[in-house]
Amino acid sequence: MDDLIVDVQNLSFAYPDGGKALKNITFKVSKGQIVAVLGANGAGKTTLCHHLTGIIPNIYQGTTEGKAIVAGMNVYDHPVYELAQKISFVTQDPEGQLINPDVLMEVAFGPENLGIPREEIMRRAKWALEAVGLEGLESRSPAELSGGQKQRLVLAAGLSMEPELLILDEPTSQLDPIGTAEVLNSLIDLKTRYNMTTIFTTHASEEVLRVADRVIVLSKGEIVAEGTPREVYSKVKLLDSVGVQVPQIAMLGYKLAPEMPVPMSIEDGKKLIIDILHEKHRARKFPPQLATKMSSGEILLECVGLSFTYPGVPPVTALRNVNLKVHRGEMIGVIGQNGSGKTTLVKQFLKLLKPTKGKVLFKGKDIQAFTTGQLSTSIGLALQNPDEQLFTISCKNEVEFGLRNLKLAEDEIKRRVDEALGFVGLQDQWDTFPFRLSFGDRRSLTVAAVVAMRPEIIVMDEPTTAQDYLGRHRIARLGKKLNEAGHTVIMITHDMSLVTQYADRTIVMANGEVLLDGPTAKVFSEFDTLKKAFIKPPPIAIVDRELESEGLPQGILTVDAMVDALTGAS
Amino acid sequence: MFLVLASFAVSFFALDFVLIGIWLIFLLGWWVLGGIEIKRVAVILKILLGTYIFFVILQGFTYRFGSTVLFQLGVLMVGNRNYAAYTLEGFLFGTLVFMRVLAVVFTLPILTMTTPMTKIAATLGKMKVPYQFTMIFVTGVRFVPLVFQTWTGIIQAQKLRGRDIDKMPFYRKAGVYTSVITPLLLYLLKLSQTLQTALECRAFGSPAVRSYVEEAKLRVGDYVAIISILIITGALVAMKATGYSSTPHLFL
Repeated sequence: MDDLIVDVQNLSFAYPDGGKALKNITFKVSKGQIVAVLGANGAGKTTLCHHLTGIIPNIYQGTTEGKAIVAGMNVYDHPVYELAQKISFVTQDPEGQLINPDVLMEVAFGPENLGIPREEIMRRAKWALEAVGLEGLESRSPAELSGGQKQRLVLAAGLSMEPELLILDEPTSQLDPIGTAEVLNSLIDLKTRYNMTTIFTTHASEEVLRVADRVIVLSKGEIVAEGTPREVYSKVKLLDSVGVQVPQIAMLGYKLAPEMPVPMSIEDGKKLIIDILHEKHRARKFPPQLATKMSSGEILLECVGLSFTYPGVPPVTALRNVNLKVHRGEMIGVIGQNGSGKTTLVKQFLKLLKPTKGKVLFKGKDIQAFTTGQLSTSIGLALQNPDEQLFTISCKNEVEFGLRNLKLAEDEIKRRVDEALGFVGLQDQWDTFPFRLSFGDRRSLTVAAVVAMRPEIIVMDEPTTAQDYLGRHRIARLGKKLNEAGHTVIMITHDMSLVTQYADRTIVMANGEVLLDGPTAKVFSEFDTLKKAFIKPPPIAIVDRELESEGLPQGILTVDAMVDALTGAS
Repeated sequence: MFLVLASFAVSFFALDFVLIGIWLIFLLGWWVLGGIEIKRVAVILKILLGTYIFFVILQGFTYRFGSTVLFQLGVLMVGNRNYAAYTLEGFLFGTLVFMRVLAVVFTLPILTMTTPMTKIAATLGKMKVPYQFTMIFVTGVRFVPLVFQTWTGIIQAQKLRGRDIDKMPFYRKAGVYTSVITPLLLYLLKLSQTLQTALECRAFGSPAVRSYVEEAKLRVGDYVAIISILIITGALVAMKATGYSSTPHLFL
C-alpha cells in the first residue's frame, strides 16, 4: 500500500513489573483514515498509543518485541521531538497538557521549539486554530476555555507541528456531550479538508459509529476484532464478553432478531421495529403511556431560592434561584453540560460552598448550623477527581478512614471495608497503594470509601468518567442496590444511557438553573427543552418518539424496555 | 523584570526604615499606575503575617545588638547574652527584615499582573536566559492555581469523610495539613509526568535554536520606567553612601 502510514507488526510489550500489556499486535492504517480503538480499561489502549508516539521507549521503558513503523519512521530509533514533527499526541487530561499562558503561545510552542521562523509559525497557528474552530481566541488564557475548547486547543497545538498522523488517547472521556461532539467534529473536518489520519481510543461506542472508518477492539493486550464499525458492532456477543459497549440500536437488533443483519442507525432501528410490528400485527396492542410518578416520602434535603456566585473578575453565577426537594428513597440523576451548575449544587448540600442567596435545609434544619464533617455522616459525597480524595497508603486504609472518624468498632470496620471494596470490584486490592490503581479504579475506591460510611444520602459526582462500560454499569448498579436498601442516591453523569436505565427521577440543569425536574421517562420526552440544555436523548428514546404513530408506548428509554414492549405485546 | 532586579538590590543594601519605606511607597506608586488594587496589600500582609511574627520573635530574642530589654521569660545565658530577654532592637530588626521581604514581594504583582507571561518569557529569551529556566518559571506560574485548587480539594475530601476539621483545635489542624501534603506531592508527580509527555510531544528539548513568536521590544513607557527606577535607586544608594540612617543604633 503506497499510502500506508502505520505498520505495526507482531508488537508485544511488557512493563518492568512483568505485566504483559500488548501481545502480538499487528495492524496497518492508510492515510486519511480515522481508526477507533475500543477496549475495556486495562486492555492496552494507552500502551499502544505510547508505542505509536515513541513515548515508549523514550519516556516509559519495558520489554518490546516486534516493530512499529509510523509515518515512515521506526519509532524506536528516534527521539520524541523528531517523531513529534510527524505524529501528534493528545491525552485524556487537557489540564496537564496546556503549558502556556495564552492560546496563541500554546499553539506556537511546538514550532518555536523547532526554531521555525516567526512568520511560518503565525501561518501554522492561524491554520491550526481555524481547523479546530478556535480562531479569534488567540489572546485568551487556556484556563478560561471550556473542557471541549481546551481539548481542541491541545489538538491545535499538535496540528501546528503539521503532523501526518494524530493519536488521541480517550480525548473525550472527561468531556460533556457537547465537548465530545466538538472534538469529534474536528476530527471529521480534518479528514475531509486535509486528509488527516487519526487513531483514537475511546469508550464512546455510539460516537464511533459516525466518526470512524475502522474499529480495532483490544482485550487483555490482544486484538480481538477489527473491521468497519458495522462489521465490528455485528459481533455483539464478543463485544459484550470483552466489556465493550454495543450501540443501543445494534443491541436492540441483536435482541429482537439475532438472525438478521445488525442495524446501526436510528433509521435502521425504526425499520426493524416497523417490520416486526407489521409482520406480527402488534401495532394496536400496546398498553398506554408508561406510568411516571414522583416519590412523596420524607423530605431529606431542600434547596430554597438557592443562588451562588463564584467571586472573581468577573464574578461567575453558577446557581440561580434553585428550588428543589430530595425525598427519602429516591434515585436521582442530575444531567447538564459542563458548567451548568451540577457540582456547585451538590457542594452546597455539604456546606463546601456558602450560598450567595437562599438556603439548604437538611431534615428541615438550615445546614449552616452544621459543619461539613458533621453533615458528611448523613450525606456522603464522592467528588470528581479521585486524586484529591485518596490520602492513605492502601485501599483498606482509605475505606477505613471515614469509618474511624465515625468511631465504629474494629469488627464492624472490617466488615464494612470488606463489603465496600467488594461492591466496587476491588476485593483483591486491600493492600494496594491507591495511586497504583487505574484512574477508573481510583474513582471506584472513592465511591467505596463514601458508601462504607452508609450515609442516608449518597451523592456521586461524575462517578463514571473514564470508566469503561462494565465499570460505569458496576457503579450505577451499586447506586441502585444502595437505593433499594433504603439510601437516597443522587448521581451526576453525562452518560444518558445510565440515567435512563437507573434513575427514577432526573434533574436537568443549564446555566445554573433547573430546566427540568421529574420522572426520568417524562423528562426524556421533553425533546425541545433537552435541546436547550444541549442534551441528546439516547437513540432508543428517539426511535420511540419517531414511532409514536405506530402505536409504540411513549417513555421507552432502554433497550430492554423496548424489547419487553415489543415482545410482551405479542 | 528590571524593577524586580532593582528591588532585590535595594532590599539587599538598604537596611533602614526610611530607605526601604521610600522604596515600598515607590513600588505602590507603580501598583496604582499599573491598575493593581491597593487593597491587595492587605491580602499580602495577611498571607505573610506568620512570616512577620516568626521574624520578630526570632530577632527579638536573638538579635546580637539588642540592648533595650522589653520583657524576659527567664534567664538563658550563652556567653554574656541572655537569650530569654526580648529586646526593642531585635523587634525593630525583625520588622526591617520583613520590610525587605515586602520590597521583593510587592514587585511580583507588578510583574505578573501588568505583563503578560508571554512578554516575560520573550524578555527572558532576549536576555539570553536559557529557555529551560524560563519554562520552569512559566509553568510554575501556570500551575500555582492548580496546586492551591488541589490543596483545597484534599482538605474538602477529608471533611467529607467525617474528619471534622472545622471544630479541631489549632494543634490538631496542623496534623491534618501534614496528611494533605503526601497526596498533594503524589498528584504533582503525576501532573509532572503528564507535563513531561506534553512537552516532549511538542519538541521541547530539540537541539534546534528556539524561535519566538512574541517579540520583546522596549517602548517609550518602558524607557520612562527604567529611568525612574534608576533615579530612585541612585538616590537611595546616595543616601546610604553619605551615611544617612534613620535607625543607627541597629547597625553598630
